Amino acid sequence: MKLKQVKLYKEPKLEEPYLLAAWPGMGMVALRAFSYLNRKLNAEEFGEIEPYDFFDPEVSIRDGLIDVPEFPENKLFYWKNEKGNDLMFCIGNEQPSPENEYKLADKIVDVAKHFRVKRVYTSAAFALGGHLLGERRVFGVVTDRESKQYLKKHRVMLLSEAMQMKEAGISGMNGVILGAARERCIGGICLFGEMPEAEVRLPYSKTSKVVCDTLIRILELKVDTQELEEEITQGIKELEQQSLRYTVDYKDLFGKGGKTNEH
Amino acid sequence: MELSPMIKIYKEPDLKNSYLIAGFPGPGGVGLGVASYLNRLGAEKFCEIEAYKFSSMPRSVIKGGVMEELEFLDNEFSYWKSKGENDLIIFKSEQPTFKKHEFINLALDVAEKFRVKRVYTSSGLIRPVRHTKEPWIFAAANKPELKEYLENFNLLPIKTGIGLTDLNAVLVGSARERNIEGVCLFSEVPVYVAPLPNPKGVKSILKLLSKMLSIDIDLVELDRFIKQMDQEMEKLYENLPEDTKKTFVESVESEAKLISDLTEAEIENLFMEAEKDPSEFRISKLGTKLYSSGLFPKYEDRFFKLIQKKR
Amino acid sequence: MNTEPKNTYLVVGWADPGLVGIKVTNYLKEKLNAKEFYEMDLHGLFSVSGVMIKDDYVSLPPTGGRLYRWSGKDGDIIIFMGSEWPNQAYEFNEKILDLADQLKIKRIYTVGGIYTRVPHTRKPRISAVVNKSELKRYLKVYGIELGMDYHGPSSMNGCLIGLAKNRGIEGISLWGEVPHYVHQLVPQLPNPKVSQALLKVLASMLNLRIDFSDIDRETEYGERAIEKFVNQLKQDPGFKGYIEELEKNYDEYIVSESVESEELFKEIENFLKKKEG
Repeated sequence: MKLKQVKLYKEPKLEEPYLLAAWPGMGMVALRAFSYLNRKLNAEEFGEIEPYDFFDPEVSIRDGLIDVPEFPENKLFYWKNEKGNDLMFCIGNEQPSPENEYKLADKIVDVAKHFRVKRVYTSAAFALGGHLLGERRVFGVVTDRESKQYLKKHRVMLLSEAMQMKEAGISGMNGVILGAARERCIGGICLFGEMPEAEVRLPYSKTSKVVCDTLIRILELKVDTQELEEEITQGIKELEQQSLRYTVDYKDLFGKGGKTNEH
Repeated sequence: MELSPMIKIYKEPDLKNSYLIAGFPGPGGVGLGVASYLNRLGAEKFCEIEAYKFSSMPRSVIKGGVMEELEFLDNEFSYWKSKGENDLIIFKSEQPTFKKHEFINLALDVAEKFRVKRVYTSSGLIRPVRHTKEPWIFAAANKPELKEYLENFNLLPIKTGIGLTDLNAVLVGSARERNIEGVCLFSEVPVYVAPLPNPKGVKSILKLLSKMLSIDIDLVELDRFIKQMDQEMEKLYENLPEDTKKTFVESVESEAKLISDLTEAEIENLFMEAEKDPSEFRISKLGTKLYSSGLFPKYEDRFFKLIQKKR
Repeated sequence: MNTEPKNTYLVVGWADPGLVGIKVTNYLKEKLNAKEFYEMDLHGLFSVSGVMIKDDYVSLPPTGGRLYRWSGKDGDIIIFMGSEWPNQAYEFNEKILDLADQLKIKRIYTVGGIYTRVPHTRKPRISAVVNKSELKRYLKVYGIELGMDYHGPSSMNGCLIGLAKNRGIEGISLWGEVPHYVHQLVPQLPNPKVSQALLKVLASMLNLRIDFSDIDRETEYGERAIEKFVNQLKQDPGFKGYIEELEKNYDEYIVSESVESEELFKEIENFLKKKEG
């Protein structure tokens, strides 16, 4: 079956794979955690989603010449797991505009259906006012009962257990992909990681590591996150060197309470 | 060559060595202004793209309570036979909302069918200059051979620019994929009047094009419009805070060498769009661009003001 | 969807000024006890920028619209009740028209509100746009304003009848004029008075006998809410004067030309600026 608007360099044979999907978002949690895993497992790139219907073209000028149009990427990778479900990754480097989010998500679900993906995993930051003392917790939300039971089995807290709230939201592709998957009967889980609101617009956050650790534990992967921790620490140091001022300003702007789940 | 059924050709003029002059919306409405004005040479409409899938909402044409028709994205190709070497095809279009890449390629399909050799587009370059300044023109081409050609016209070259979204620039980039030469001319547009029509910019581009293409264009009508807009722009200039006015210093206005990178102009573009529509998407896009270009510290204050406004 | 009744009409409404489109379709659905038979779930045509979470379950925000059917002895009435507009009017309306073709619908009525300079204190005016000039004569009987000239941004309803024309399906757009100075400032405030007036017209066109007594009650509440809001506005003498002028024009039957809502908003913007400043 030919997939439209998807370029496949090869057709790997995958057994009941899980799809790990990530885009840039608050604190870059999903993207950093999932890209790290992708890299450490040495997952192989096997295709990409053609961007033309989901993104606007951009051109760059290099050495006085206007170059051919460029687009954000949504790349597909796979990793064969001898000890469990194979993994597929969809890593995007930019979010589409709201008019195109569902369309892109639906296209990725086409790919998931094609490869008989069993479950989709995404991640997001759960922003909290004030500073976080101690461990940052990870908790999940799901699209279906089976995934809920799966989380319980792996001792992952649910949102309702972690927070005193019944309602919340996930904005951006990290949420919409789950909605699209659900529409077409593929289960999904989103792992939230706690994050102080001050970090929301920063590209490095310790939350990436806790989420990555949880995912490694659930999926029983043999991956070490020491390097990820170093990457994050180094990144934060560089940010602080560049401009101490704006980290302070961020705290001023965002320091006042409220649980936004804004992406 | 098999064209998409979306391309409606009403007439197939016999054109020789044609150049395509295209205009999409952009800062100062320069591209559209240039294309509109060139149509006055006596160009005749011969083609359009049926644009249902590229627009969000059409316009209604209702007469006497009867719905006559719906207008989707307005666009037209017109042609003009010159007495010189190169005939002209003029393409004017509204901004497509969806599938821009596909739309641009349909336009280039038409260009290819009529064996267009070269495409010229124009737009506005947002800069911290005063509206009283005679706008400079910057240029970029899509092929190395054209760089020499451009030098003949004393244009200011653009060396770099990352992530330009202006369709006038994108068209020239896409043309490169088809081996069609392309030049994009940018006329300066003052930052405080970027969303308004800029006939001074249009005039400067037209003067240049008349030299480049060896055609006579009567610009008198434009002078009237320029006077009118100058008055409006003067009012906006007066209302600017004093420290903003100070940024339009002589050095910026007279040092063309400083501008060889369009990235800041693109950032101005993104600010303009985010100020119009302060949605999360636009603000994130702007923030990401500021980080990736390393220009965050320079635009920090303005960016924070935008976030506060949103809240 | 396999029956072939004598005449099947489609009534379409969306969230629009004064929430008229939603109110009228909802009233009709309730009064006829129409049964839901289809849901148009076209998320790709809407701006979906996130998902909701309730009790740990993720779900998409509701988009699209539902279709209801009522079978009468002369024919069927299908009601489409939409909500927020999709961002691709052409694509969505073509899907509605595909369904209309399948259901052998001959005529589409759209219902909705339109911002005009009508004062909130006067009897609502209903105007119409048709997609075939023969339909104009038909409307004269119902005392509806016709004769509008307009060239500007369309709406889901306008776009629908425009596209229906291409398929040879008749289209009548009924517009309830809502006081722009109320509903442009508070879009969540519905205008049941206008909705009721429009429903009355629609009901007579469709030959339906409807008991309006409970709708009358809702209309009273609605009017009070609007009156309360307007009294706040009237504290500004400029605004008070603006409304009085509109009343004068209405009474002298000065027909207001169709103006784009942006221009209408500018007229009251100045009063707001004064308040903020």
